[in-house]
Amino acid sequence: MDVLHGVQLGFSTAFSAQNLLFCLIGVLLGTVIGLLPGLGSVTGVALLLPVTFTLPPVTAMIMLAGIYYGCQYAASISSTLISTPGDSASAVVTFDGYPLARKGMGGRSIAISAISSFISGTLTVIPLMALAPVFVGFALHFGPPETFALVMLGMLAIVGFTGRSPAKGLAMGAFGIALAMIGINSQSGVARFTFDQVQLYGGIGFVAVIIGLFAVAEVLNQVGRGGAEPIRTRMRDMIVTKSDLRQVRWSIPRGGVTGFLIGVLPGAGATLASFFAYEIERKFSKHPERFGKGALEGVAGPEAANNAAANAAFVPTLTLGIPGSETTAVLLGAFLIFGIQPGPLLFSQQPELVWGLMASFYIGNVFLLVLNLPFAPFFASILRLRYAFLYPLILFLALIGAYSIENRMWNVWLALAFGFIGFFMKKYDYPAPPVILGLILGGLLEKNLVQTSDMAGGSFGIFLHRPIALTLFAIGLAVILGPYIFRAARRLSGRASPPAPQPAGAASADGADDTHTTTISRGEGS
Amino acid sequence: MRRAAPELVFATLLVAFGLFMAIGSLGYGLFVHGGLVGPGFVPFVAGVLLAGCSAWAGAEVFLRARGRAPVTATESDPVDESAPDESGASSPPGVHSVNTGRAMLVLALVAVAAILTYAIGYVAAFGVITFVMLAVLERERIWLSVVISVAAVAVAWLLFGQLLGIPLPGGALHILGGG
Repeated sequence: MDVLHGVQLGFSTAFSAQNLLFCLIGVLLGTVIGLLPGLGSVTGVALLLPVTFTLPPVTAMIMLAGIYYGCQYAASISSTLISTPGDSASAVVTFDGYPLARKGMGGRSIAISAISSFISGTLTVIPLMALAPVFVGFALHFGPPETFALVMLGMLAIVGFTGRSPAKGLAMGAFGIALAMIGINSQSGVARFTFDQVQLYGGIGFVAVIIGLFAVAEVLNQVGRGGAEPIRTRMRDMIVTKSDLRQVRWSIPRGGVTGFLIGVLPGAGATLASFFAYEIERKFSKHPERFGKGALEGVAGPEAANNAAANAAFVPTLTLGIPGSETTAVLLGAFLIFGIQPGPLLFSQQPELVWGLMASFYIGNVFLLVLNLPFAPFFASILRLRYAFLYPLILFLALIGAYSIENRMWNVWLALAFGFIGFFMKKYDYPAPPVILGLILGGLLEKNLVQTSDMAGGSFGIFLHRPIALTLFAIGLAVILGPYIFRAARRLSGRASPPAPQPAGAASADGADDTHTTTISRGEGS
Repeated sequence: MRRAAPELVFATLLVAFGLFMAIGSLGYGLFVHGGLVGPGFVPFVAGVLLAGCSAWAGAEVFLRARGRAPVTATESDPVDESAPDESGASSPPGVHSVNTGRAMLVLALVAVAAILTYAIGYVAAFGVITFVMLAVLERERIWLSVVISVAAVAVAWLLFGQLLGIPLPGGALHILGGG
C-alpha cells in the first residue's frame, strides 16, 4: 500500500466516532497522570493498560497512544510550576520553565510548551508516515558502536551544563555515571556496590533521583530562603504573545528535527532528545547567558524535541518490533496482549491499525492543544498561593510519585536522600542536570561499550570501520571545538570577537538560584 | 576560610566517593579475558573522573578563599550558619541567606512522616506532617491547617489510592491503604 492510500485509510479509521472518543479519553487521562510528579508516561500507560482490554485493538492502541503523549504534554506543567519533572524527558523544562514561572510568566511558558509540542508532534507525523519504511533500513545499520558514539555525543551535552565551574559540572556528570554503575550489571551479572542489599540490586532509579534533586531539593532551598513570594502578575500577562512566538519560531523546527532524528533510534528516547535540543538552542542563541534564567527557547526547543521523539519512537517499534523508548516498550507489550506482532510485516498485514494509529497522533495533538492552551494561565495561577501552603503539598505529591515507581518505600527514602544531597548541590553551585544525564546515559554507554568490545575482540579500532560512528564522533568534536575555532577565525579575520557565551551555569541549570532575584523583581514590568 | 569550610567538606566527600568507586571497581576487573572491557572499567573511569574533578573544584574554592583566585560570582551566597531564620527582608536587595537549619528541619519532618508510614500508612502520616508544617512551622491558623491537611489526604487517597489503584502503604494499622 502506498503512503497516500495509507494516510487516507488512517484518517478514515481514526475519525470514527468510537476512536475519536477514546482518543479524547486517552489524552485526558494522560494529562491528569502527566501532571502528577514522578508518574510519567511509562507509569501512565502501564496503569491504564487494563482499561483498554475490553476495546477493539485499533481503539485500544489509539487510546494508549493518547495517554502517552497526554503525559508528555502535561509532564512539562509540573516541571514549570513546581520544578518537579513529571518524567525524565521533561526535566529539561525546569531549567528555564521554572524561572519563567517565578517571574510570573508561567502561563506563557506552559502555552509555549503546548504550542511547541503541538507543532512538532503534528508535523513529525508526516515524516513518520512517509519515512517509516526508509528508517527500517537505516535503523538496521545502527549497532553497538554507533549507539556508543551517539551516547558519547549526548554526554557532550554535559559540557553545556557545567556552568561557571567546569570542574563542578564534570564532577556531577561523573557522579551520575557512577550512580548508574550501582546494581547488577546486565552484561556480566556482577552485582556492583550493592553490599548485599537487595534494594540495590536493581540499581538507583533515576525517577527517584530526579524527584529528589529537583522537587525535594528545590523545596528545601526555597524554605531555607524563607519561601518564594507568590507571583502577582495579571492574568493577561500570563497569556502567550506574538513576540513570544516570534522568539521561538526557529526553536520549534530545530527541536522537532533533533527529536525526530534521535527518537527514531532504538533506545535513545525523548530524554536524550530533549537535552540535545536544549544544548542546540543554547549554541544557536545570540544570548546564551539567558538560558537557565527564563529563556523561552529553552522551553520550546526541548518540548518540540520531546514530542517529536515520542512520535519517532514508534518507528522502530512498529517497523522492527524494537521499542524506541521505555513507554513504547510497554506499548509493545500491549501489542502482544492484543495478538498484534509488530515488525516489517505489520504495515502489510494490519494497515488499518498502523495508519489509524499514526493518524490518531495528529488528532490527539489537536485535542491536547485545545485542552492545554486556554488553561495555561489557570494552571500557572497556582503560584499565586503562598509558598507556605504549596510546599507541604508539593512534598506530599512528589513523594507519592516516588513511591508509585515500584510501590515501595525504598524510592521515597532515595528521593529524600537525593533531596538532601541536592540541597547542598544547590547551595554550593553544583549543577543537577549532569547528574541526571550521567545516570540515564551511563548504563547505555557501558552496555554499548561492552558490546562493541565484544564485537571487536577487545580492540577499539572497530570504530575506524564504522562510518556512522565516525561521523557522530566528528559531530561531537565539532560541537566542542566549533565555538573556539569560530572565535579564532573571527580574530584572525580582524573582526572584534563577540563576548564569549557564558555556559548555562549551575545556577542557570538550577533555576531556583535565580529565583530570589527574579521574585524580588516580580511584578516590575510584568 | 571559615565560610568556605562547609563547601570544602562537600568537595572532599565527593572526592572520597570517587576514590571509593575507583578502588572498589578494581575488584570487579577492568578487563576480562581477551582484553575485553570488564565490569569494573566504566565505574573505575567514573570514579577517577569524579575524584579528580571534585578535587579540582575543591582547589578552586580553597584558592578563592585564600584570595588567590578571581572570585567567580555565584548567585547563592555561602551559607551563614549563624543567620537567624528570616525571610531576608532585612538583607540587601537580591541577596538572601539560606537557612540550612530550617531546611533540614523540614527534611527531618518528612523523614518522620516516612517512618510513621510504617505505623499509620502513607496518606495519614503525610497528612499529619502537613498539618505540623502548616500549623507549627509556618504558624498558620489551626483551622486552616486542618482543612488543608484533610483535603490533601482526601485528594491523595481518592486520586492515587482509588482512581489510579496505587497500593499506598496502609501501615500496621491499615489506615487509608490504596490499590
